[in-house]
Amino acid sequence: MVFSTPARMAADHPDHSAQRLRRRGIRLAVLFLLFAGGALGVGAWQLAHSQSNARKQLRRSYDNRSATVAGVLESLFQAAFQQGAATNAKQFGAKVTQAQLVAYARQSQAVFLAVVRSDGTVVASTPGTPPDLGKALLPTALKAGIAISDLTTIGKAQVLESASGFKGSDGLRAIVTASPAQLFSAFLSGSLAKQVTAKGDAAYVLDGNGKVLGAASEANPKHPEPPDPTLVRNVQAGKHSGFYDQRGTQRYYSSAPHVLPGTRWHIVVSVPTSSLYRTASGTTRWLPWVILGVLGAALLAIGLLMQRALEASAKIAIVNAQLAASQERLRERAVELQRSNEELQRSNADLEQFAYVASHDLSAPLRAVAGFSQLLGVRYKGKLDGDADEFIRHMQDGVARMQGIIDDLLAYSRVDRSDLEPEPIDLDAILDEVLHSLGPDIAERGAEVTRDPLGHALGEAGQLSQVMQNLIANGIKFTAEGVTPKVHVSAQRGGGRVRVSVRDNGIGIDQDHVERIFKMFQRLHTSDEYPGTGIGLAISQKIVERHGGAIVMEPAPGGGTVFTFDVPAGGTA
Amino acid sequence: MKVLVVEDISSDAILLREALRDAGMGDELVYANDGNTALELLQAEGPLPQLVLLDLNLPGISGHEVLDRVRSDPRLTQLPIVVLTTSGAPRDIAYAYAHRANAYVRKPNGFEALSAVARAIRDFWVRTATLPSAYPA
Repeated sequence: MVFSTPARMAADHPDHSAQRLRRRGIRLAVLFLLFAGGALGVGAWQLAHSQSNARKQLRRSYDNRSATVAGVLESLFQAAFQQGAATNAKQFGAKVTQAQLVAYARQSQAVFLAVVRSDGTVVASTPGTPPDLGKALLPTALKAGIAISDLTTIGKAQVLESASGFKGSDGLRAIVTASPAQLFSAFLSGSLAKQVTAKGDAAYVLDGNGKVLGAASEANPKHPEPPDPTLVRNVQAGKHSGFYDQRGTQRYYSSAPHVLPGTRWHIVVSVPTSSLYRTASGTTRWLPWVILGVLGAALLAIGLLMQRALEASAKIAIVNAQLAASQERLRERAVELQRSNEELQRSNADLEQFAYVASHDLSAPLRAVAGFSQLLGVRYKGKLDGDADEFIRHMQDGVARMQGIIDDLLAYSRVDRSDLEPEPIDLDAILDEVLHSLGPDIAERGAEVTRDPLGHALGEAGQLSQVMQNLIANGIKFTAEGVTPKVHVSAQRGGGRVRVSVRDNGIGIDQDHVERIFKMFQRLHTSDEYPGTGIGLAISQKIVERHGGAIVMEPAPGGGTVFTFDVPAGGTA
Repeated sequence: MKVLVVEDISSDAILLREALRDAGMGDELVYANDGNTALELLQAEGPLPQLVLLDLNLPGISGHEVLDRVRSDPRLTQLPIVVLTTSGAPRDIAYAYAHRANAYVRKPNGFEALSAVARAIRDFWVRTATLPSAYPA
């Protein structure tokens, strides 16, 4: 019988609820990680953004530096040529002699030198001066006051041509010179050197062909490295800023947005990226990332710990639920066992009550049958024919057997109709009585009953007497014809109990039938062979069990059977 | 001799009647098949039976109660009552004598045994004992 209570149903699926718990835990952990990851991502994006902004800012300000350097150079040039223009007007404004020019050329270390009019005609020139010297520069020089060429060669000398306008007596004039490139280079490099201050800074002046006119380097002031060809190409291509690699170092360059006035020269500054980003790199740059990383790791760890904790608690919940379920099952089993035990006891009691009532109520009709069949036999004996007399006798036999069964049934059901009230009993005295009442049977079968002292026991004398009587009577009864029945009764004490054995030399009992012989009305022989209802051993077993003992049957050595039963020992021996 | 037989089971009553007849006591038998009838018969006006054979297990008013009421009735206190029952319960035996039954006899199985009991009752109550009815008040 199974009662399905709600508790039981819930307890039936501990895994499910635990799985639910576990899933919820994992969901929570995943949510947490997602949230934390999102927050971190936003932080990282912000950081990256602000850092890239900072870098952009740094690059922009660096771009300004090239303009600044260009401005410085421009103002130097302007100052020099304005001063030159005034002197020139004074010296070469009117009549100019060659000697005068030669002297000036020597003074200014020029290779060639000429004074020309605005239409290009030469006023005077140093000897060997090419007639077209500085002709291309003239329009610019006359307009802006100064013009300088790119690097060029005259003969074997590397020179820079320059033209500088001034007012002459006959209108605008210009003095054109071809000066050695080194002169300009020294001047330009010297000017640039004052501008390279940051670590790894470099500055260059490139002419319109990309040739280096001046260079300065913070790292190597005396021998500045020439600019990387990539840088030169980029500048010539008109890219004002960008990254390039020089000997494995990434650098950033910036060229001034305009060429130096009157020239095609570019002013370029360059710095290693590391130096450029110094304020936005190193500790400044990576510390926030490290902090962010640590934060991320911490969050991840927290998430994992949380997940693990949740999982552990889910596991505990699973185990708890299983424990509770198994406890519940155990409890239910106990309750069920108790219930079935009670049912068993009740049905046993019912059965015994039934047996008692049935046998008791059967008594009256049976008495009638017995009475009237006997009455018939007495009154009509010899008055009916011979068959009738025999029939009546059979009827009486049947009734007598039935009476026996009912008596046995009553006896069986009476065994524990009252509580056992054990009292000290003398087993030897009981055996005396049993043998006395079995006297006629013993005499009839010519049986030999021998005995050892049995001592005392605790129990109900009447019932134990019944057991001994049953066993001894069986021993006498179940012998082959022509064999003298021999029964020996003995006892052993031990463990607070007396074990009484009844050994016979009877026909024995097949081991296969051991189970059957203790059952009610189970017989191994016909009642013609051995009379009896077959309840003796069942009653005996019930009585012995009532005394907390057991009754066992074993084959006796040398044939026959030994029945042994044990009951609580009493007295001293 | 007038005998009142209180017996609810008719087969038992018939067997008892036959046994009593065989014993020579069948000339004046009165029957009651339950306790009520028995009490009515005993409490009615007229001559009382000289002996009552009383079964204990009766429907309605049990034999125990019949015995109790009879003994509470001043007119019936001396009436000889033999309890004749199948019960061998010690409680029943004790009750019967405590309520002054004159004898307690187990009803045996089988007609021959019953006849023997009937003859024993005759031998004692008819042939041996002197009954109160010999000296009516």
